[in-house]
Amino acid sequence: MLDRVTQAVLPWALAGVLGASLALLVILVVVQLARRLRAGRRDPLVERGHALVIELLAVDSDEEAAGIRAELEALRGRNWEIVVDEAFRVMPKFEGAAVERLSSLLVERGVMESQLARLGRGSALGRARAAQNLGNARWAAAAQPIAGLLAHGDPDVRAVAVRALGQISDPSTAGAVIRAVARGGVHIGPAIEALEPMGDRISGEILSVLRDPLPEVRSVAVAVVGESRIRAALGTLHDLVVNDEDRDVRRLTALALGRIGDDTSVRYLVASTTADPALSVALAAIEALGQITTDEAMEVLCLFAMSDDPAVGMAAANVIADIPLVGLTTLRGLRVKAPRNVSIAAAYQRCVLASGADDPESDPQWRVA
Amino acid sequence: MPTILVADDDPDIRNLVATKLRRANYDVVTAVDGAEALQVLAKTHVDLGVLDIMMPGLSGLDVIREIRGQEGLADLPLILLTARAEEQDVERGFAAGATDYVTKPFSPRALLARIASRLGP
Repeated sequence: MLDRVTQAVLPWALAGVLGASLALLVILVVVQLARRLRAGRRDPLVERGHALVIELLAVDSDEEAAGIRAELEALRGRNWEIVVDEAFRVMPKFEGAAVERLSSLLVERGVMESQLARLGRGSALGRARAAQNLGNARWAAAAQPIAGLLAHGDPDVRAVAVRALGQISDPSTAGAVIRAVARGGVHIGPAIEALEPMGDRISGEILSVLRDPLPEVRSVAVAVVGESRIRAALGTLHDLVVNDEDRDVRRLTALALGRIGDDTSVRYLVASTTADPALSVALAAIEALGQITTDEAMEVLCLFAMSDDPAVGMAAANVIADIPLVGLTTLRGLRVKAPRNVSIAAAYQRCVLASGADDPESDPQWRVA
Repeated sequence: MPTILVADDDPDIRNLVATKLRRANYDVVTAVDGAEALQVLAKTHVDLGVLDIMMPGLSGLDVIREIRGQEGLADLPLILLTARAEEQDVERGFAAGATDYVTKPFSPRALLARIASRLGP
């Protein structure tokens, strides 16, 4: 009985499955064709949008721009969206009146306002996209709202925010960026990359951050000051390198003073080397002296190289060895003064090998026992 | 009208500079990389070149060195248009034989003024 039923139903069932599969295949083919057709239609639109943006950037005066603007202003819907995307994409490559003309068109069409609004609502991707667009446009009014995104839960949003703030280059956001790094929300590399171009313009903001109660914040701030070589902060750094309660802050401050390379820092670095209870700070100070390389700094380094403290002596001798041009001759002089100093001898030999110069100490009497 | 070579692998930069120059009544030839720039220079008379440094294959600096070694092109004004803005990059550019150095992002208007000043009235 069951066999008979199966025999009757099976062909119908197979035909049904086959029919459904065919129908599915047809649907897939149609969808693919429709997609390709749409893509084919979109390309010329993107091309035209791109051309209009480029033309608007290329004109010299508002009169010349009038025709292109009229064409752009007439665009609606998807066509206008393409132009907006193109505008934001190319903006970071150019500057001056051309970009201002493009920005003013976007302002008139309410694009900047809508991007600003998107910073505060919607998905993480949408917020990041808005921050990226406003950064590309270097839209000053967006600086503080974008700084607000530095506390966003999504690390990608925070990373985009830092980059956008760097593009906008508003010094008042420097403190927010530094605090975001200190909280662990943003990597220090991109933060320095964003802040460095602001140079001395962030000095006012940075001076207050250098006095932040949190040592993590002060650490990041001194690193930024060093990388950006902000001389206006030298007085504060001199105080921090000697007096800050946190060892890491003192160490990073010493390194920052080296990066800035100002002669007035020598005596503070000497104080750190000789009096700081932490060896890491003393070694950082020696490294910094090697970057200053003035006569005074070299004299001090030579004295440290001959120090009774082997760690200080070796660090100073190695730092001297790494100083281009004068390192070798300085160590040669030190070898004469202290022929039995192992640190100086080792650094000297390393320097000779690295420079490829003939070793004038091939005489056995020079060799270290 | 003077003919200007614009060599840049970024189509946005290439298109904009070319459009800007054509609007200013210059003839423009373009290249997408250093090798194509040399090919263009071999068969077209060019009065000035605008070259990106970081192009695939031959860089803008390679192109300049090659050009400076060629008879007839040794004095060709060559402007480097590049994202490399460090002091040593600028030094390297001039050492290679660049006539001028413009960093990106750049003002199209200012670039046109530099080109015009090199070509004279």
